[in-house]
Amino acid sequence: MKKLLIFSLLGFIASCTNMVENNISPYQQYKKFLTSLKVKDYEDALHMLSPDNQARFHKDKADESFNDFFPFFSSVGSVVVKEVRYYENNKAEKSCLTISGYNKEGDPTSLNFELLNIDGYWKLNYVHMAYHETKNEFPNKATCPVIP
Amino acid sequence: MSKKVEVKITIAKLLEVAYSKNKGVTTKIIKSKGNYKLTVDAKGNTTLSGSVGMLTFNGGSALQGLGAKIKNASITFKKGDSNNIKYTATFNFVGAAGMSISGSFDIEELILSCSGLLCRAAKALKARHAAYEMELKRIMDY
Repeated sequence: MKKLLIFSLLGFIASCTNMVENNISPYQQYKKFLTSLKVKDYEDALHMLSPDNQARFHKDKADESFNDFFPFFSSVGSVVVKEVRYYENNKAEKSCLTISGYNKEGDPTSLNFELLNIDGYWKLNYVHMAYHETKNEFPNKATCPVIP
Repeated sequence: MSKKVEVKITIAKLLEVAYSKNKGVTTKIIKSKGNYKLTVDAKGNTTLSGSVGMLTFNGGSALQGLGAKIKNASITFKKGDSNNIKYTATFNFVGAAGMSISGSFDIEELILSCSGLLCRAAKALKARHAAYEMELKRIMDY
């Protein structure tokens, strides 16, 4: 009886933990990704990418590092340095996240991400880095990257 | 200057504009083992795309030396040995004219030429240095 109670309690704690994890929004996931890049925790950063990206890395990386293999994802921190606004458009399976602001030179820039819902976690699947001519070109809604 | 040379210099200039927008990502993508592609539309809107990302910017300034208005252009790059980059380009011009060329260049030489004094001087003047054009011509396998 005591064991059953302990297992039930552990199950409850685990489900609470999952709930918290599932509540991480695409924007929060982006912020977490930036932190991982900043502290050079590439294992954690890789874990935040979609399963296809992770599988491709393990299969094709050869002697390439995370930075070399993912030139776009590993450079997202340099695009929007001073953030102005962001928009999310979340659906069951997919989310589009747009962050606009300025790079360190003061040029207007945006990041458009496609994220996939993988078992309740938002995983980064694709990134579009946009360098605008003026701030008037900032998107006014979440813009999904058009993947070529 | 022949159209072929103009196109090769334009490719170098487009990479130079990408580099000026984001030095880190442009260097990484050009040096990476994967294939990547540069496309340009009639308005100069330029996309540098790899497998899981893309960079977009206006590359209109790089098209000014072409002497003909483009409808679109597409350049695919592939890493060769060491710093050697192979490319195949198709430029379509207004008036039903098109051109396909291929070649190779040393990426380190191109990057150094752009971060060097010559490139900075050319940018500061907001006009192209004849010497800089010659340098790009030499680098782009002419």
